Parts: sequence; C-alpha cells; structure tokens
Amino acid sequence: MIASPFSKRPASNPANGEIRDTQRQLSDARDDQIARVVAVVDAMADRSGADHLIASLRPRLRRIRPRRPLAFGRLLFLPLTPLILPGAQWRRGTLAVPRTAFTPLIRQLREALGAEAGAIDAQIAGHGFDETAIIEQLGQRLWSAAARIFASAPVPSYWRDESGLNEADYLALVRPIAHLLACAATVEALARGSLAGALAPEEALRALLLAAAKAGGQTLGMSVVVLLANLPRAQRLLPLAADIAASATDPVVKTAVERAMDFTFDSLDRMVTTITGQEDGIQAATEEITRAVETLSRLEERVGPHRTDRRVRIDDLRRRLDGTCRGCFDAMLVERVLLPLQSLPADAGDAEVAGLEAAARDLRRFEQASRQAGSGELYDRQLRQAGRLLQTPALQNSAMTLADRARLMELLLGPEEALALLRQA
Amino acid sequence: MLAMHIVSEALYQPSTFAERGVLVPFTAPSLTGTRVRRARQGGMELLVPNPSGGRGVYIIGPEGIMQLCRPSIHDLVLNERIGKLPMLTPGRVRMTAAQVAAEGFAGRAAIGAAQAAIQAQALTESDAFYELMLALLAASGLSAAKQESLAAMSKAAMREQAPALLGRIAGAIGRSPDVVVAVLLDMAETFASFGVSQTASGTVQRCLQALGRLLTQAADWPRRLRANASRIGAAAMLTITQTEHAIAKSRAAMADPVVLLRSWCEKPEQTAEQIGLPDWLLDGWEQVCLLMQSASNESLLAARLEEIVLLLPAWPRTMRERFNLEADANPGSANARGQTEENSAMGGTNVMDLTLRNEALRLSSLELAGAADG
Repeated sequence: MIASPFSKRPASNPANGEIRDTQRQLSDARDDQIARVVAVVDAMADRSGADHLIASLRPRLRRIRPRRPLAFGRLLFLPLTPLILPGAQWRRGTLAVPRTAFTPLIRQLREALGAEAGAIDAQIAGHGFDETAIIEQLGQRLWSAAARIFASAPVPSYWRDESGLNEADYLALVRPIAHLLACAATVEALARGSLAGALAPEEALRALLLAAAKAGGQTLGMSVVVLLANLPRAQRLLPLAADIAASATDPVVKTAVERAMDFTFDSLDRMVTTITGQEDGIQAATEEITRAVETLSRLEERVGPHRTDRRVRIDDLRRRLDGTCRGCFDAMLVERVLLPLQSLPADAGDAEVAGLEAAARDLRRFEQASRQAGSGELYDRQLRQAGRLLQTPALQNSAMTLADRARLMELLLGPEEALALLRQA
Repeated sequence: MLAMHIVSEALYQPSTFAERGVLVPFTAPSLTGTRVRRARQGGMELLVPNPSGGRGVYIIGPEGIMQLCRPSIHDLVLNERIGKLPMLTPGRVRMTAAQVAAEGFAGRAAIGAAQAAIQAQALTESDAFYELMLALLAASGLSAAKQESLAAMSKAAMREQAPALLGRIAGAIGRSPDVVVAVLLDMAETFASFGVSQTASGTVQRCLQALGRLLTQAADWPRRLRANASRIGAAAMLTITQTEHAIAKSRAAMADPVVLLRSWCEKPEQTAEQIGLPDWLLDGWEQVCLLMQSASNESLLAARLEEIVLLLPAWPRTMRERFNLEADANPGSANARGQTEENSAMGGTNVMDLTLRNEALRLSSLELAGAADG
C-alpha cells in the first residue's frame, strides 16, 4: 500500500498538540456547538491554522450542513467536491485531490488575479452556499479565470511548504484541476437540470468526455468521477466513457474509467458509514442515499459478468446501505416519534405537537429515500405499527386532539388512514 | 368509479363568477388552485387544475377527490364541510376553511389565528348588520326622533329586537320578520367583506392593499422575470380597478335598501353575487399575494412567478367580452400548476414540503384576517 505523504509528518509545531486536544474535545461536541465553531472559523481572515481544527469534523459537517458563507476558496473548489480527500487519506497516483493542496493553490490564484480576486471577494461577501444564483454567476467567472491560470502556471515557490507535496504532484494535480474548472459551469448546468428531472443530453456528455480524454487519463478519470457524482441518473455516462477510453492508445486513458469506478466504490464505502438519521442531517442523508442508490445502479450496469469482485462489492454496498438505512430509520422511529408520543405530557403544548409532526415528516423523508435501497415492506410494517399507537385509548386521553392524531396518522400512513381514524372517533 | 370530466382550456370558459367557482384553500399541492361550484345536476363539483400541469381542468364530484389525488386530511375535512354549505360564496368558503383550521386540521399553529379570524368576521358582520338595520329603518319613514333613539341602541340589542323592529318592512315586502332577519344576516355577511359605509373596510380592502403592494414590487423585479411580471401586473391592475368600481356600485345599491332587500328575498343567489362582486373579483388573489410575499430570494421569486401565472383567477366570459380580453390574455386560462422549478428541485419529497408551505400560507392568511379585522 502506498503511504500518504502526510502520514509520517512530524508534529513540528507545538501548536499541533493543542490542535489535537481541541479536535478531541470537538469530537464530543453537539451538532449546534460544531456549527458555531465552524461559523467562527469561516469568519477568520486567515484560516490556514483553523482548517486543521475542523478537518476531522468534515464528515459531520457534511451531515449537519450549517449555513456556511461563500468564500473564495470554497467556491473555487466546489466543482471538485467528489474528488476531495483529507491529506492523510490521499495517495499518489489516485484520482483524489488532497485538501492540503488548496491553501497554496488559492494563494497562487489570488496572486495571479490581483485586483480581480478582491472584486470577487467583495461580491461573495454576505452570501451563503445556499444561494445558487450567486454561485452560478460568480462561480462561472472564478472557475474560468482559475482554469486559464492553472493550465500553464509554474509551481509556486511556497508549494512544497504549504501543501506538503512535491513539484511533480503539483503538475499531476493542477493540470487536471484546470480542465475540470474549465468545464465546471457546463457540469453545474447539467447537474441543475438533473435535479429538476432532466436527463443530461448524450451529446453534451460525449463532448465533455472527449475533451477530458484529450487532456489525459488522469483528467478523464477525474472527470468521470465528477460527472457520475453530479449526474447519477445519466445511464449513458459510463458506457460513453468506456467507449472513449477503449478507443485510446494511451494506457492511462484506457484504464481511466476503471479507476474512476474504483474511486467511486471507495467513496460510496466512506459515505455509507456517515449516514445518520439525526434531526439536522435528514436532507443531506436523503440526498446521499438517493445518489448512492442511483450510482450503484450505474456501476452495476457497467460491471461485466467476469468482474465478480465488483459484483460482490456492489451487493455488499447495497446490503450495508440498506442496513444503515434500516438502523437509522428504527432509531428515528423510536427516539423521535414513538417515545415522545408515548411520553407526551398531559399539558403538552403546540411546540411539542409541532415537534412530533416535524419528526414524522423527517421519518417519511428518510423512509422514502431509504426504501430505494430495499426493505420497503419492513418500513411499511413499522409505519403501520406506529399508526396503531395513534388509535390506542391511552393516546386518546393525552394532550393530542383528534385533529393532531389525524394529522400525524396522515404523515405516517396517508390520508385514507387519517380519515378512517376520524370516522372511528 | 370516479365520475370525472376533463375539460379542455377551450371549453373551460366560465360565463359568470359563480360558474368559475370559489377558490378552496386546500393544502395538498395537487389541489392548489382548485375551485368549487354548484353542479348543474345539484350538489357541488370541484374544478381541479390539470394534475399533469397541462391546460384545462378536471371536474369531479366532491367524493372523487381521493381517487384523483392525494389530499391532506385538512382537505378531506374541508371538502366534506363545503359540501354541506347551502350557498357558495368566497366568504362562506373562507369561513368554513377557518373553522376547519380552528379545529386543528391545518396544524396547531393555525388554531389561534383561525379563531381570531372567525371572531373578527363575526364582528364585521355584526357591524354590517347594524348598519343595514339603521339604513332600512331610516328608509321605512321613521321619525327623526325614533331614528335617533335607534342609533343609540347597542348592536346586541338591535340584533335581539330585529324581528320586532323590521315588522313593518317585512309586511311591506310580503315576508315574515324572521325571514327578513335571516335575509339581512346574509346581506350583512356579504357586505362585511368590504363594508356598508364609505369608512368601513374588510377582507376586500386588505386584499386590494396587498395587490397594490404587489404592483409596486413588480416594478423592481429583475429583467428576466419581466414577462411573467407584466402578465401578473396587468391582471392585478384590471382586478383593482374593477373591484373598486364594484365596491362603489354595491354601496350605491344601498341608496334604496328596501328595494335591495326585496331583490335579495326574491333572487338571493343572484343578488348576493351582484353585491358581493368585489369579493368574487378578488377570490384567488390573496393566495397570489401571499405566494409572492413568501419568495425570499430571486430564484424562489422566479419559481413563484411561474406558479402564479398558472394560478391567476380566470375572468368570466362576460368580463372578457366587456374588456376585450383575448383568450390568451385571460390570465387564468391555463389554470394549472406546471411542474415548477421549485417543485422539481425538491425531488421526491416535494408533496410533503409543498403541503407544509401551503399550511404556512394558510396561517398567514388567517393571521391577516384575524389581525386586520379584529
């Protein structure tokens, strides 16, 4: 196994020990506390030290999704999201981009852009990551400028010190990054269309893949990873990429799609372990489950009959995804719906009842996404059991009015059952 | 089997406001924009915008609602209650919806607001009843002294003594005092939405103000949204001028309250529609204004405008002919909700999220009704 260039770095700075202590404390912090810490880090003018602090929190941040302000660096590397790995997990020769490369690359770009960087900063100020129109408008400007600069920029003098990587790594990373940024606005538009239910046009996919293959095997592999993550419903993506790779003479291009598939398998492996049904992570969890299910389907369609190892891996991932979803659903049902329902105080007010409804909605959102991974009947059975609780005499005497129970029944089982509850009463 | 007619846009051209139906504030997204009207064969029928997002409407009996789509429990209860109304007017449907919300079917948060809205409506109706009584009694030839003593009466006392006080007028139009009181209560309910006198106000004026604000805001909408904005703005402008004209006309009918009372006794539905025209004209516009107000950023605004264009109330044929409106210029002719950007972006969970959004709009509507009139 190739070691990460970061794995044996000595703790040369005494502050590293403090950072590790703080990281340990943060690992026990609640989601809202984490969100506050991240807001403080995001507001720092120079966050290079603090970035280490939150590095270990990134899996949780993906789930919590605190409202984060748009920042120059974050907007710049947004199109690379599916490829980004913490420095310690990065291996030379893979398709990943180590996060440790960002600080010197941002610095280099800022130096090259001069006043333009300041203008972008000014336009970004005050906007958040949830503002798609701003991301679309400023992203296009920043990505195309960065693509132009990174396509021919020399290795900056501070690269090794700031990234911990060597000069060869710079070239291996930055040229494909330049290509991906040049295509970012197109991919972003296709991804938006996909979210709205449109299928990516085959011609657009072919053009993107051909351009990537022309730039080299590493670029093609990285492009396939990015496209698959953004367009998991595009059934023609992998076959097109495979055709293009097969017709190439360069052995790196030939194997690029296989490498992209392996990379995606590894990403799914990591993703499965981060799914939770916690209150403020439902949206992220449902999106990731849906994306994982669709991506697995695309991978399965592409795996030949002789690749039993990959078939086994797909089955294993599906089983694990299903198991994780079931576990999260069970926990949500019990902890957020059934227990609060059964222990509802007689003087429970609007907030408690609204909280139960919100929990039931979250549960259904999670269930709708989870049943794509399997176990549909199990979810139906458990929801029916929960619905029966709403009919029990004990609950009829609680703070829940008939309308409250009917609404909750509707959320759990649908309007027919809610109407039946009203008729019964 | 579901008794349902699918009516194309070309055939869905209501002649009157009653035929256009009254907007029902259902909360299920598939029922947004649904109207209810009296069926030719008796009972009610629902006009549901084409669920596919295309043009035209589905006409179904109230019992067909479950088979056509997935209503919320709030919608099922509301549908059942509306089916029992003896007469359909925007005000009655509004109050029925407020009662359903007051029982908790639109969520706990809406209960208080709904109760306040019901109370506020009762107060404005009581005010209107009082003013109508005074106007009728003044027109019946009472002495100035008698009129003065009546004016000093409390509203409660006036209501209590109404049958006795109206005896002479009832005799003059050949009706019993109890019938006249019942008719007067209907008149009060209709006038309550805009007020009998020049200084009074109600739901109609509140909605007119909201429409005015909408027009002001439309001037600031981004250029790329101008096409939808101008369509909405033109419809809003015509609605405002027509409503103001209709208020003046309805109030002018009170110049001879006895004639109006007689007409109401003889042709109750027709007269109620004539006098209540301001409310009919604005029916559906509050939803438009609330949708607009809830757009917190430009992309949401774009999605809302797309949705609103399809929700604009259709003009009845009489209005279209009077104002020379082209078929395409009829804002509500599409009368369906497309699969808007906002809906699509929510993916598989959009039904629950949009129901929640519609409940929030219900709450806003009830809060406005309770606060402004109370």
